[in-house]
Amino acid sequence: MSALVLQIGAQVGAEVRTRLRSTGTLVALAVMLVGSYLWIPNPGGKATSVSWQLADGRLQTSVHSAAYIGSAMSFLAGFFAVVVGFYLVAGSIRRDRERRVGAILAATPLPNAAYLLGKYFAHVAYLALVVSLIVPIGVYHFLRFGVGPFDAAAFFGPLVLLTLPGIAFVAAMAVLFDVTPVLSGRMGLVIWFFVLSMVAAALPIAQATNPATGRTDRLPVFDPMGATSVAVLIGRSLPQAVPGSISTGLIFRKEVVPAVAWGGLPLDADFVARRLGGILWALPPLGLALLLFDRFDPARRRLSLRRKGKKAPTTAIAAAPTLLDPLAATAGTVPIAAPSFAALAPVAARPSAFLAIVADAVLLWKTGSILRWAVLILVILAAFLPASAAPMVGGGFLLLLAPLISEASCREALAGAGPLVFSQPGVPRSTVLWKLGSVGLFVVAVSLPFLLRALVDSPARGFAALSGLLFVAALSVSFGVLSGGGKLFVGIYLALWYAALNRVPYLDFCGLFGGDLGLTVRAAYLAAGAVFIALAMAVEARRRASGVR
Amino acid sequence: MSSVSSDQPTIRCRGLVKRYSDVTAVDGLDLEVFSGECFGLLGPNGAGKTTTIEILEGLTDPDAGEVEVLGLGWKKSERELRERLGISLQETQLNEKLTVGETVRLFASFYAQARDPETVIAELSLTEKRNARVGKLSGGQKQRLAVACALVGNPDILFLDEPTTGLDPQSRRELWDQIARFRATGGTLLLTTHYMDEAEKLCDRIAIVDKGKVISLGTPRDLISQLPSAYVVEIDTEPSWSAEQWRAIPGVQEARRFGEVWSLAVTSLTETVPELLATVEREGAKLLHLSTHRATLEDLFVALTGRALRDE
Repeated sequence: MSALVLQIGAQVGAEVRTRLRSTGTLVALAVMLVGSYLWIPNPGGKATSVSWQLADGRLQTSVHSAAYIGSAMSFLAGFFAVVVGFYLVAGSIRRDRERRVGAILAATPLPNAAYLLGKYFAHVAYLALVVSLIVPIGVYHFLRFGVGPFDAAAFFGPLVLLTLPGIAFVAAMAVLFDVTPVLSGRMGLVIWFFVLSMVAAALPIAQATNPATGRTDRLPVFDPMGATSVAVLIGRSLPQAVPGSISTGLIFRKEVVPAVAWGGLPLDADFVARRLGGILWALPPLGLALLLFDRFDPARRRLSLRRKGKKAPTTAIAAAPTLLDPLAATAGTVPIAAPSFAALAPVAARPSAFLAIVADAVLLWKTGSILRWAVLILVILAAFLPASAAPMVGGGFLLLLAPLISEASCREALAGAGPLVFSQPGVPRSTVLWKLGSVGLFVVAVSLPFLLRALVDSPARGFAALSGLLFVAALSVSFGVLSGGGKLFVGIYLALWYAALNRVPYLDFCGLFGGDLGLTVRAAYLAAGAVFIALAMAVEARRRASGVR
Repeated sequence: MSSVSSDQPTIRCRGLVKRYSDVTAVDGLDLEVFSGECFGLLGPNGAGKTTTIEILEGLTDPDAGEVEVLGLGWKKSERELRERLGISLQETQLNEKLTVGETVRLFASFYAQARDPETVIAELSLTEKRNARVGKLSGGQKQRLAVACALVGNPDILFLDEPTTGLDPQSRRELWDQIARFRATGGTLLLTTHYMDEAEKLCDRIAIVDKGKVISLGTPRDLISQLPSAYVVEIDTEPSWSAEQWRAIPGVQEARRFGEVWSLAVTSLTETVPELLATVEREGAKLLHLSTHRATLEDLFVALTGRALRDE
């Protein structure tokens, strides 16, 4: 037992150290800090974290008590841990597989359980660390705007109780996704957001809804994000509020909302037991992951299935990783799983930066597998369907765009083919600019019907769509270069996409969801993209100076 | 380090077969490696060396055949075997953000009877780099680190797959020294390589593998002695001659063309080279290149397959 603990501990230490040394973590920590600061609104403003409506129609919010700030912190931390946290930790087993570290680990006495638990606890530790950054921001808000005494239980209780089960569940799901074919690749990043975040939101609501009254007033058993539990608790704490009128999260109102005293979330024994018990929801995905884990030999699983008399998965399911993920296509049989770089051959023959950009854009298309056709169909539909259907179809197109371009700027590094590709005479010296050109070209080319339709609707819409897509290209390239992977971009982009879909002001980056933001905001998106690119170029220059590319 | 009886093979496999789709990577391969021996699998790229070694390491399941390591089978004794093996694979990219010391300590934590990581780091001449990140190491240092990770578990058997591919001559020699040190402690070593000088220098016995089969097996000296000729002359003339013309010269046993250069197997340099030069001059041809060497394992491979090792 102690050996197992030591093995797990050594892995957790190595994993956490690895992550803390990556640029992606710095970006994630910065996003968390800035996001936390913006999330907890200043008192006296039009934004609220918790608000409710009285029977006479008046809106109210809470004064900045320790309970209010603690609750606001817990809303963000719960959402961040479940939705964004997954993108921060998923993929580490896939990386071990692609770099053949997995094969070396498989050759050691390290048991599968120790390996997977090592990954799991590393995910938990890392997410807890990132989420804990919200605490100093909360303390800052309390010191600056706080009302009443500092009640530590009310301040920290919601954060710990709401976040821990979420982190435990997400870390386990990340391990499960990583060992499951299809889900371990880029498609898994989309599936997580599209399906599981819905499940994580919808299932708790279904459990909490009282069939007799139709009200959401029962504490759910399964609620990793904690949002439904919070809604139930706030409802209990505000009997004066109109049922269904309580809003949590960062909500912008048209007028300043009066603040009154609020006792915070009632953290009774039942709630505490349910939340702590919720940590156990990590066990099913971890157990399933242990069953599915092939110890880095895909043939082992096929052989095992054959021995059990089952048909080996030679069908579409087994082939799906190949179809959906060029980087994972040959993992396990080839030392470094790499996409074909044949599309770059013309660059070597006739050196030219333009050809290199075109060739890389072509490579993006060729490695897009089934996703590219889905994107193409959606973009054509978005161009020809009535305006009322455009947000839904266009939203789908923007969603699937993320995995297509997420690894474009770090593809060579991930495949271990950097020296091979960057030594070609036509490839531009700046990876960032090269990739910005190719991703920008690719995005504009595949979006052409959508762009033309927006332009026909109005020049302002056309500019909004173009500036938004170029911003996305810049975001993809810069985050890929900064973090050395595609997850950071996918996580942040999907959060942005989700916010735009929910019509959060100023975040409708493509002007698709009804946001008429004007030229200044569109120019701001382009400027933000330029800032990200400049940052990535600075990091690239620093890496080149230290001999890394 | 425990020992096994030297008359019992430490590694034994019979009738190994491994297929990938329509390619048969290993085709009925038999091998026996004895305790304390350095055994080499020599062959061109794609010959089946890596697949064979991965099956022996228990990393890949064979489609057919039996494997026994240290008298144990993989299915029943995987955990025990893993404690007693050290493995370095081709082209592994260890975590670039960890330091050398952290990496070796991490691997040491996996073994019940691990050696002191600092000692292993020192033995692999990596002490100065113990706090350097893996991403900052040279190719040779990374390879030595991979071997350090393989040695830190105090293995009875060390598997090295292409340990020096891509390394400069100095790094290769440094790694050879580490291998020699492991052997001096009584360890058994199985390595794959396509460098014949490496195989000749390090290995007690060699199996030459081609198309998934062992085509020749023995000590380097025994293998080379199988050749009918002890020397090889490499020659190029203008105009180029045919194989029949070369074979007509006294002392030339065999003639094969590789690119522009003819490779002639001869029994005696002192007798044949003057004869060759005289014939070239007599025929009015221009001598563009002439070099000689003792027959090597590569020449044996050429004689056995008609192909050069590095043509693959």
